[in-house]
Order: sequence, then C-alpha cells, then structure tokens
Amino acid sequence: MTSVWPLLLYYLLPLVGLWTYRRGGRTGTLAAGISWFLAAVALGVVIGDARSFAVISFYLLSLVAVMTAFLVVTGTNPVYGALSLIGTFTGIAGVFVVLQCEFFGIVQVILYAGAILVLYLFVVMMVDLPKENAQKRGGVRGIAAIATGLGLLALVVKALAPLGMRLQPAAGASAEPYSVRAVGTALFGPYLVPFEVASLLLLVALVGAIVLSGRERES
Amino acid sequence: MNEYLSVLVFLLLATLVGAALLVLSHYLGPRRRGGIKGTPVESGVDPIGDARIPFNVRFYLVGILFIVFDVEAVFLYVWAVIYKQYLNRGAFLLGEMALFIGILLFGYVYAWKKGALDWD
Repeated sequence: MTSVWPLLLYYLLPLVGLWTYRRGGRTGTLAAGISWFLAAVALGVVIGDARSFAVISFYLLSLVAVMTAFLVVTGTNPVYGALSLIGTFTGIAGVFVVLQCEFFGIVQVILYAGAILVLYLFVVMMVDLPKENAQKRGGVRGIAAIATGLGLLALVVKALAPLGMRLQPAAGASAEPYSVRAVGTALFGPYLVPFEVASLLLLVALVGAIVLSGRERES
Repeated sequence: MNEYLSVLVFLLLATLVGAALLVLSHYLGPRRRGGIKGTPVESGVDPIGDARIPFNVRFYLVGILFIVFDVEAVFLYVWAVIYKQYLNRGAFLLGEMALFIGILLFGYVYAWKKGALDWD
C-alpha cells in the first residue's frame, strides 16, 4: 500500500511534462495537492482526539479515492486510467479500515487492486488503443455520462436521506459486526446458499472465458 | 482507532519522503534533453513500430483463472478463521467448503481438459 503513495504523488506533481494527462489532469492534480496540504495541516492541529482522527482519516482517504477516480475518467490514456484506479481502490480500502471493516479493506486490495484490475488491463490492452485514444470526447456522450452520474447520486442520497447524517449501528448489533469472525459466521450460517451460488457464478465465469477465448483462437 | 495512528504517521512520512525525492531531483538534477537521449533503447537497433500491441488472449484466460481462485482463497481464509469455533457442529462446515471447492474443482478440471492451461 505504501508504494502507491509515491505513485500518487507522481500525478500530483504538475511539472511532469511527458506523462501528464493532456486534459483535466492539471486542474485535478493542483486541487489534490492543495487539499492534501490543507488536510495535513488540519491533521496536525486536531490530532489526539480519536473521533476527529477517524473523521480526518476518512476525508484524507476519500480525497485520494475521489482524486484518483477523477484522473481515471479525465485521462486520455486507458492504461494510465487503470493505474489511477489502483489509487481509488486503495483509498476505498482505507475508508473500510477507518470504518472498522478491516477484512473488507484487505479484500478490496487483494481482489480489486490485485485481480479485477488485471482484467481491466487485459480488456484495455485488447482494444485498439491508438484508435481509442484519438476518439473525441464530450458531446452527447459526455452529457449523458454526467446525467447518469447525477442520477446515481440522487439515488444514493434518496436512500440515505431518511437516516440523516448520523449513521449509527442498529441496536442489538454485535460489537464487531464486520470482523472476519462475524463475516464467517454469517457466511457459513444464514448465507450459506448465496455462498454456494457464488461458486457456481465463478464456475460460469471460468467456463465462459474458456469458451469465448477458444472461439477467438479459431478466427 | 488509535492503533492506526502510527499507520497514518507512517503514510504521511512516506508521502513526504516520496515527494521530497521527486521534487529535489527535479530541481537539483542536471537536465539535458533531446537528441539520441530521447530514443527508446532497443539493443542499439532502431526501434520499429509501437510497443502497445494487443495482448494475446491467453493472458486474459490466465487472468480469469487467477481471479476465480483468488476469490476462493478469500473465502477459505474466512472459513479457516471460524472453523475451530464450530467444530461441535460436526462435519457440517467441512461439507460446506468441500462443496464450494468441489464446484470450483470441476471448473479447474474443465479448464485442464480444454487445454486452457497449455500455452501452445
């Protein structure tokens, strides 16, 4: 995880001419740099109080996630986009840790940053990169994308609005509802059927990939 | 939460050191660009074509196989943590995992028979 930070800073340096994003990158990196600085200062001021410590960590980590996600969608090179996505996954993993869901944080790194991203990269490598890079952005597709994003945001807000801003664990929930032990007890108890169905899903993915790639080899 | 304080300090320090190294080398290092220095190294031969060729589809297949068994490993980890706790329930927990692994093992055998594991 630590190795990601210098990588992240690589983006934050607006001076790197050769590999900087052609569009959107500079504004984003500048904003990220300033926010990081402010967050670090705030951290120095308020540290010591456990509650504000968690809040500050949350904002720092979500900042990393949001900024790298910004780079993913604004960058014109899909490979660099995939690289930025590692930062997003790492930030989200950190948020999970702050929320005391350490297991999900680790799974986020192992599965998403490790395995899922490899698949993304393969898909990116399989398309015709120079042709995709040359494609113009924005226009109707850009507007549609923004509308979709706002719609999704509205859905999330609508779902969370009844809870208010104070998210508290339900009464009667166990002390550590997301520890590995609790997850295991739930997974191999009441959620046994979904667990076994998951194995079928994995099997389907495996067989599907073999069938599809076999077809490709013939052509 | 405070047990992560040291982690946070560590991360901030690592960020600082990384930033300092990049910035310092950017401003202090000599800079002579252009000419033959800008060409990619290819064993003294002039480079031909683009480095970004489409990948062989077999890599993708290996990637899928990796994900499937990566997910299995994650579930195995959870299972191993609670296994001892539920020993009194007999072989129930063992059977659950045996079914899970059995289904995936079927996929493994399928991949093997189909030659997905062979490179040629």
